[in-house]
Amino acid sequence: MSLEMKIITNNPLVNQAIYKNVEKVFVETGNIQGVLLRARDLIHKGHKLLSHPLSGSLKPNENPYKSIIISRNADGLEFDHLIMIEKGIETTEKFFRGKTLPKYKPATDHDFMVIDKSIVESGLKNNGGA
Amino acid sequence: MSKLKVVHYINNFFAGIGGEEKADISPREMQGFVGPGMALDKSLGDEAEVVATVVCGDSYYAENLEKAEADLLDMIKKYDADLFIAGPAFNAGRYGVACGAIAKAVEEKLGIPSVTAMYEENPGVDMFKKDLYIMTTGNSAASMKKAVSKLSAFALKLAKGEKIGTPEDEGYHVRGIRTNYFHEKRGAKRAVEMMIQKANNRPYVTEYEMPDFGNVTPMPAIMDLSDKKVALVTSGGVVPTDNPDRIESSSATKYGIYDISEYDSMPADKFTTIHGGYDRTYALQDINRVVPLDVMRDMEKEGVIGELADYYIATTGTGTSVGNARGFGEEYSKKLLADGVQAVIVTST
Amino acid sequence: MRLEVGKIFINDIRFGESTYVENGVLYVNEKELIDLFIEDERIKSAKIELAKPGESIRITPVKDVLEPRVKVSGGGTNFPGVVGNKVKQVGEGRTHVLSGAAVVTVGKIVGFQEGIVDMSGIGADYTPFSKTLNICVVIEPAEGIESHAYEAAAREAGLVVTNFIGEAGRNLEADEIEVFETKGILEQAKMYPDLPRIGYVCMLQSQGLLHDTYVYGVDAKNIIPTLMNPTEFMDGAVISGNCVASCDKIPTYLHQNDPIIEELFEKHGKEINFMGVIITNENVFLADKERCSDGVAKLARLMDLEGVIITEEGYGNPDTDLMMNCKKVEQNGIKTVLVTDEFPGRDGKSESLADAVKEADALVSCGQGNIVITMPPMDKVIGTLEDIETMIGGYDGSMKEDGSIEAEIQIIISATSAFGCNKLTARMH
Repeated sequence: MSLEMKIITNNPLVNQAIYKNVEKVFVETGNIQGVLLRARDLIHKGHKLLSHPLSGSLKPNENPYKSIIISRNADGLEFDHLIMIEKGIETTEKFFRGKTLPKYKPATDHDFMVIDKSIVESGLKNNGGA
Repeated sequence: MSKLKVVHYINNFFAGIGGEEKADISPREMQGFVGPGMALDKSLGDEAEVVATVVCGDSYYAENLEKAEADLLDMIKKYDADLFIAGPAFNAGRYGVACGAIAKAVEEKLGIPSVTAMYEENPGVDMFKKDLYIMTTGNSAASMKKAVSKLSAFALKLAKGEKIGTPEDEGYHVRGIRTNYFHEKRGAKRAVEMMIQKANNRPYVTEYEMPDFGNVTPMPAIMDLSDKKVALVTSGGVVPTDNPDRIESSSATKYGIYDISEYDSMPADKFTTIHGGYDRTYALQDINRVVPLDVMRDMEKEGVIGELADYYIATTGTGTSVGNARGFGEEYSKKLLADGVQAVIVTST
Repeated sequence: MRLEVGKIFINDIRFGESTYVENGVLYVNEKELIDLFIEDERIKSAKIELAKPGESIRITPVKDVLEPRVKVSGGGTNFPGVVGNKVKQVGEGRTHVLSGAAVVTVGKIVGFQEGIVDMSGIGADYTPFSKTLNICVVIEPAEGIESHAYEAAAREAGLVVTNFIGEAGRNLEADEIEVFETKGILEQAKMYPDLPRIGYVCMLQSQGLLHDTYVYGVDAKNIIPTLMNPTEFMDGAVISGNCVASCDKIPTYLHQNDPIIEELFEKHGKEINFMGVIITNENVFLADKERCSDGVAKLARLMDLEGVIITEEGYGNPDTDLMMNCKKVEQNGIKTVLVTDEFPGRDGKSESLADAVKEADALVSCGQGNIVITMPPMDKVIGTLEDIETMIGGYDGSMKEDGSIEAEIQIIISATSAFGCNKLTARMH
């Protein structure tokens, strides 16, 4: 079963990777909120949310990278998906209150990319992508 | 031991200056206690005294948030107070919101422990409970004595830096702050005990309440409006220029029904907005931005909607209690139905 | 399935010539333990260190905590599917436990290290593992090794060492024996017809690298909801590959000693009829969540349950699974109690959970993970303090000059685990 998917990501590792049937949208942003906001805009336009915006146990104020899977095509606003992404945005904001993303060593920064890539791939693998 | 110094905030009414007609007075200060401040002072006993009272009109505060706060803080600063008490405001919405706002400002900007008191339905509670301790009171000044005694007892605790207990023990509105503590039983045990209660239809208390989802199920969507009568309702505070029903600019206690049958667009010389919660500049330039009469008339002509109702309904949303809002809706929806209205567009700001 | 669990009480751990138990003391030999896994090319070096309750020791970064057990009889082996490739079903017969001892794997897999266990001081109050006698396996990865490979190596090392130590309990006489039994569904239902039929829905972390759980060696990402006997957990059928978010991590030790299973057995036959366990996962793909929550509701109905207790591991994404499971089970007329932890922000004022449904009217809270505490300096560190400030819960300035750590309790292993193993909880002020 192959679904036409799109990944919204700010993770260079994910952006460089090759996945079957998957279009990529790279968002140039230092923290995950930028990715969530772009996903929300596309959901407004009718794309379906396919993966959970708060995937992974790393909290928004410590993890710089996020990849979100949405449908390649836009065929109508799904209200539940809008609520889910909006909740994700609100939760992310809550975690940032009074905190900032630390400046990581390049090796650590890379580690975060690896984890995010693994998580988004776990979503792709079981559902026709990757 | 010198007495703790308390500054007290009250409104035009409790200061004895006047009722609604004096709600527009600007901030002023008086020495010692005024009005209910006397009972407060007595209740504080030997440990503290009300050294000054600051007063402001309820609508002045609502319409001049920044200036009122700045002026009041200037007055309060000089007393070097140990404690700041506002109200009690009972169920008076604008008064409660003003009490919450000034108490919060005093605590944050002057570093003085502050407390206020009001009734649970007062919009000030929801707005400020997370920032302040707000003591619970009855819904009218009839319970003044009890409210004052509760306020003073708690205020002294605050000023002395004593440990504050749970909302139930101390008598303040639940603030919504999740606080950790060690229970005597581990979580798994409590979970099984809760399950046993629930499975046997016996009462249990959840340890975390879900947010209020409200209890209004939306009506099904209307696919085709071309034969429907539609009405406009707004919480944007748009009223005829003389505000004949005296709808408040915040914490509204009424709504109004206004004729628009002769207009194709909201005329700027006949209508205005009195809403105190948003910058009115763009609305005043073109009232259709809040009550989109021009677009609705176009849709009527084009047949997108069957007919627009002759009137629109308005109130002010900001600071208005849920109870009041619910009451308005329940009342005017009866009229809408009686007039054959089948769909409503609600504009908010 | 009927399992006799024989506990051998361990009240001290020491280094010795070999690995054995005598008079309640567990002796371990460093070389013997390290030799079990040191040939693994993925590992550069390792050492064993001991930490006891009350000592001024800080263990960090903690990867997993495991309990030494051995399958004495009944078919199958301890940690089926992961140690020695033996996959037979477990949960029957007799199992011995070296109770009071634990193996802690320590080592840096990624740069955002996380997970502290303090053996004394205020930090010790928050973790169950300040009360266990800990045999710490401190591992250093081979140069340039890839994270997936190292995670697997560390996990396997922990399992192999724990299994080996557990063997020391095989022929000993147990100090205390407890019997746990649940029968086939029909027979179990008939056994206590007047007691409510209660099940346990156990949600397993399954999102990717450092976020995994294994059931009989199978990656939980790949399962659909299924039934298990509660005693299978006691033989290590479920092990943790989750190394993230310390405070709500469910280490292998807690799968082996699942507090919900323990408490349900406490009341089994007295106030409830414990029917069994449904396991499910927490995948990131929304369609997986729909599929699995439908599956959970279906199994609960098939088992003709009257109520289920649902636990989760993690925050955010798993909260959605928790709520979906709750909603669908309740809509099938089965009552639910949820167990979870909270993250209401530093000031405690924001929404604690990432998701909510109105059916979730019975919830047990394991505390909120955002409060900040200051843990005093410790005389000894097992592992490394490098990267404390980039740990979850830590921040710029967390690590004080005198060695104390100011951080959110998120940084403490299992401080708020949503299995309800601790007494920490939260209330509304």
